[in-house]
Amino acid sequence: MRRPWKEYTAPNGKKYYYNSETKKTQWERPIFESRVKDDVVPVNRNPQGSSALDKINIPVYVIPLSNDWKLVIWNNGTKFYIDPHGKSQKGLEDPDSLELLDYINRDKLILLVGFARGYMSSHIDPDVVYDEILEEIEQMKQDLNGDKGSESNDDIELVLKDNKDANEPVNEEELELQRQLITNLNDVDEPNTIGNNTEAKKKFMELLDNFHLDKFSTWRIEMKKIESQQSFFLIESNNEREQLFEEWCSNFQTVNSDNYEDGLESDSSMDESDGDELEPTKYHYLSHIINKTDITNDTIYQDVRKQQKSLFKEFKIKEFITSKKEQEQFTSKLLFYYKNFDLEERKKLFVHLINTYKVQLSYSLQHSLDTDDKVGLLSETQFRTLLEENNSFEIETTLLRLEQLINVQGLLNKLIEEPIYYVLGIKDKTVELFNILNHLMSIP
Amino acid sequence: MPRIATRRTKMAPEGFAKIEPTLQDFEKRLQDIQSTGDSKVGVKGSENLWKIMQVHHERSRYVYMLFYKRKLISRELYLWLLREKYADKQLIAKWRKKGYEKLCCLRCIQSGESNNGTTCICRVPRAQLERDAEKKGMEVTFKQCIHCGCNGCASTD
Repeated sequence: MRRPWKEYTAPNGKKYYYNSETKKTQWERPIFESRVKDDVVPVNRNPQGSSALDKINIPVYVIPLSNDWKLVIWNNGTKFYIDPHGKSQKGLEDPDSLELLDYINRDKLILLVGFARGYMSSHIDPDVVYDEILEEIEQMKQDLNGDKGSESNDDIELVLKDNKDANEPVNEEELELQRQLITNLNDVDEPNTIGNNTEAKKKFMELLDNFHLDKFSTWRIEMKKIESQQSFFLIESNNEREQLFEEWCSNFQTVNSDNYEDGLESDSSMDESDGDELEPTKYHYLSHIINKTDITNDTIYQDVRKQQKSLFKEFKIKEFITSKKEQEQFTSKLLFYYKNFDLEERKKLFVHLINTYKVQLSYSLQHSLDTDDKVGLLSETQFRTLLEENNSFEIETTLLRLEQLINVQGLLNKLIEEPIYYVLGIKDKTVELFNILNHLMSIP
Repeated sequence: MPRIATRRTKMAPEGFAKIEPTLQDFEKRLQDIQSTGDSKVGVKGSENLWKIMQVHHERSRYVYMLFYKRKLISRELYLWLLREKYADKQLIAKWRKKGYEKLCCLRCIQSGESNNGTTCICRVPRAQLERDAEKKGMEVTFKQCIHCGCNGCASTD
């Protein structure tokens, strides 16, 4: 018997199926095949990815601030504020409390966040640190209430220092240890200086946990997801890394409930990139040009170039992509999508691609929300009005800002190499990306 | 290479969906090797073959790890994978023996096939190679073995 379905491979490496009787093409494997292959598993490589979002979070520490505001630290390290009406807020809107937070010993707060995330230490008791912070806040409240504003910064700091000495017995060793711990948590120093190998191993394991790597996969595949991380390089040889990964996979059943999270790392590197002005991704302008070109079935790279010569010059494509060969390769990849899919299908492809990077995306998002209070995200209504005005410059700025927010140059550097990331025009892309991010943000 | 799936092929047991993407990745790598032509330079002629051996080794290792070390797949699925030749049964059997934990390929331990009646040079521990070379006052010249391109698979390495 002849089978009507045939399997072909699309240029992007994905298999598709063609029915020679009905002349239909589809991505999904036809069902009546003798071997059932769990119909179309989406490309999502890690099944844990989706569950990462609905993991149970538990508040661990509550710190009362002034005017009935409270700071809550969760076991995944996120912070929330509770306003006087008992509602949780992302940002702190009380000036007194803000002032108070400024004066609190930052190191201790960071330490506390570390403990909330499950960091263990034999030398420092988390409860002691917690108590100390509470005490400090009490002191500070009194000070602030006593003579509001008249006291200068230095005085308060002095008070703070006295306070600290009184609380802790002068124990140099202890202090030294604590300092070390803080630097480890912060990861401000170069990671290589940490001589302690077990420490490095532990951090590396935490990294594996954080990214919810697929325990059913190989190291070769999984390492690509985390190789841009700082703690990745704590272990020097790749063999050792692989061994640790195997170890991690094999004891998965016993410790899968422990979730350490360590978002404190690489703070410094984040700040550096934030300081720069908005930088478009490598293929940003080229994809924009292709989007503007009218594409027929026999359009090739040379046609695009001929048609849009002035734009090529205007956007300085040469500076972004130096080799012509690469320009051509990328263009032909994009042309494939433009020729074969209409706008709706391309939107679907785009959303699908973003969803495969969901874990990294939510991680980066969380990170930038944690470190930055002034998030450059517009509200829903503002965004709509912006779209109606159709100011292309503003829309592009929004897109770039969104990309910066999720730190595409860092963790998601694989994403921006994908041609599918560019199949939409700037406006559509902004809308889709905005929607996805909005959706992600609404899930705490 | 996995067997071609026909109508008579037994259905994959439960849990196959989880490891399928990884197996597909291996298959993709094999295809990529096939699409690059052999080098015309004599010494490099067998390099593509080595790459194929390497992927084969890695895939077998992957299945071995899944079942024996990570303990993430059922025996049923493991046996199915062996029957469908996703992994090399004989190679895995050797890995379970002491002293062969990292064996690269079966041919490298076939002493009968070699000229001196010994195993391949990649089976010699690196430390011993270095010691011998030092005695002779030379550098270690061994880089890759000619059978499978292995660069040392002694258990102590």
